[in-house]
Amino acid sequence: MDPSGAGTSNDEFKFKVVLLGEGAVGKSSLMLRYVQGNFNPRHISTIQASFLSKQLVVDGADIDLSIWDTAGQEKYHALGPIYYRGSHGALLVYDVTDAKSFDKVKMWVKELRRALGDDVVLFIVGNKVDLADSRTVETEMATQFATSVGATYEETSAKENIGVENLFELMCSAMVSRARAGPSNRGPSPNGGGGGTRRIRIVDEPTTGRKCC
Amino acid sequence: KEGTETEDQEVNRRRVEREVRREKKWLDMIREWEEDRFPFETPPPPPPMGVQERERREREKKNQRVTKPVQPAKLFERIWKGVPEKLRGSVWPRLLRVDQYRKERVYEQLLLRARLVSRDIRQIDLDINRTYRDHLAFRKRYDVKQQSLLNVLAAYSMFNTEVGYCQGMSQIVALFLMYLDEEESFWCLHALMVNPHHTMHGFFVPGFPKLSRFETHFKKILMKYKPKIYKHLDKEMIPYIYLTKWWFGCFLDRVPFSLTLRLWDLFLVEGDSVLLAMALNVFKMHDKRIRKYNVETFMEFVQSSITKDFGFSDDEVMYSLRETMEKMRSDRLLHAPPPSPSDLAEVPTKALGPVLTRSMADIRSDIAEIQSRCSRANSTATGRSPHTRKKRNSMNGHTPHTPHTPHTPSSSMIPPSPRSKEERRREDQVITEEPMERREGSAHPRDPLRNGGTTLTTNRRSVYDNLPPTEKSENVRRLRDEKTGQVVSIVRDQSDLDRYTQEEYRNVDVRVTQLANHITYVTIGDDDEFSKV
Repeated sequence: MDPSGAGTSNDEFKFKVVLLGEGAVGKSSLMLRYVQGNFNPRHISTIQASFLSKQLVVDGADIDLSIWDTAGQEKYHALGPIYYRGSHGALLVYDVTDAKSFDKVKMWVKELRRALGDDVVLFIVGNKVDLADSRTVETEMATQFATSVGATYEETSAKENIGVENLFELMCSAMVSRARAGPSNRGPSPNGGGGGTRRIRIVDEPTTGRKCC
Repeated sequence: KEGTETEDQEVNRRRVEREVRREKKWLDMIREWEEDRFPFETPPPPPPMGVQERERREREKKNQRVTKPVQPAKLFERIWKGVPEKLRGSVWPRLLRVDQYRKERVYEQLLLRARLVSRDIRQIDLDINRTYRDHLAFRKRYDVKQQSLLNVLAAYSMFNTEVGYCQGMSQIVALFLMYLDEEESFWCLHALMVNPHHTMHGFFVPGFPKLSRFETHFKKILMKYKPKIYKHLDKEMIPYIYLTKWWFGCFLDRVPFSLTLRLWDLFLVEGDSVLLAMALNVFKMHDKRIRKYNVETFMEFVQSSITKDFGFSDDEVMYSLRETMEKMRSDRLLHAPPPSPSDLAEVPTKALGPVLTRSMADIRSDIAEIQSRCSRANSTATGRSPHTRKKRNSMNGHTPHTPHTPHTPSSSMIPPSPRSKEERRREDQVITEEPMERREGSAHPRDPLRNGGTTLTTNRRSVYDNLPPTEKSENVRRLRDEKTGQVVSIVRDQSDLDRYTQEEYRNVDVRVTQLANHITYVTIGDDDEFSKV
């Protein structure tokens, strides 16, 4: 497949991806590094979910990627469903120097599987790998966990620009595969052919009383 | 070119003259306020104990007077042109009626206690690193203003325990600290949280009840006044999440700073209806643009475009806002309907500052203990003051931890870290976090209640002084500090023996984290927050 898509008209997809994780693990920094290509050590803490979008071509598909960034403090957790509703993918970010932030990832996996089912593409992201000396969460453990919950594990450093581009491309690639597999195929397998289908699955949680959108 | 320079100078001269005239008017108005004893004069020094009751009655009488809006006549007119920059520091606390809330010495006492027991220090510290770092006053880490910010937020987290610390509060306090001192900022924050015109408590308290209530009302007024925009947002599936940030900080960071100040001036006078009206006003003023936006362009507009340049002058925005508010007022839509009794409370329901009931003697002995612990840590070159943060149900009579081999300063496991003057200085104001329960119940080492544990738990001092590192090694776990790489020993005590078998204890999740300002956290078992979910 021609990655540039020249000559042929590509499939078109519109994907929504949400960044979740504990406060100060680097969610906003990852997004800003990927979309704007910069890193600001004095970034302000996120209160409202912020939003950036990017167009890219992956696996012969034109992708319009919208990335939603969320507040990390536990108290804002209640607003989570508003942000991740209708997401095709979620990046669950933790700080490799902070084991507690990894626990939070486990919790998000549970919640997202419950709310969005197996269709949502989950990536677990160990950020701040530049701080190798103070690392407390080992790659092996994180990989094992990711595999056990049907997620993909990647490591990044938003500060040093390690693995960020790759992360988002892999994520898009996974979402494209899943979308091409078609809405009828609800299994976790991302393989399969089929035309370019654009899918938005909205799962309403009966328990959440919040109004949305 | 010379011509334009003199022209600029001319414009500037006029601006300064106007500002000076305004300052005079405002100063007169402040005097008028003071003659009315509105809202307050600096209270006299704290009275002797017997006088307190009389003073309380007096204050109540005064409060009754003040609750009737005794505002200078011209305030509501002048506020639209903004409070003169020089006078914000004296006008804002008056507008918030801080005297109704201020109590002598409370802040100082809270602060002493907050240094010992605030649960929110870690999050606060993380956020201070991300609050107005581009503003000169907050640029330097651990500089004066950043310390003040930490102090106010930590003290408040001990005062209004239902809110504690919630993200978004740091920006508000930082704004206050640009004009006010620490204590004044503290009381302004509190007034803003609880006074009936603002009740920001309702926004920040878990569950955000006021956010839902305001959002509902906002949709209603948007549908009424700007039905096309309402339908457009609906069609484009643009979620209303930007309202969180607009409202929690009254447009801080969401419109240019000069405009934010004008909005805050008005917000403090008019109350929370400004939040609704300004949100509507943004849509009103940018009507045509917004109806062309999709979710991407709309979000860019909200979080980037209008934060840099609103597209209209501050005066134009205020003029339009005034029209909007008057229209809403005449339609009786300016105020959101009050919360229904079945909703979460938007005002504090618990006693304020519960930690203040602890005697100073108790607190002092704790402080003394911590200080001596610091100095011991110093003398043994461990260089850190360890403090604990532990799970609620694992903390009763818990002996937390000890720096590894305290009496062998040359221990190979702890690189002796030479302490700079700066570090020593900072130690004087070390802020620590300890589980509240333990401190409230059996607070200090001499407390007989603590004798229920093993010898290791009865006296924390003995842990440092008498424990040979090899003794009872099955009860000791060594951990590496996540940030500094230092080794810390965790000693298992009776409550752990009860909770875990030896095997489990070896595997239970224990983590040691050190923050940049020399706070050590020890977390045993899973985290409170995590287990809650």
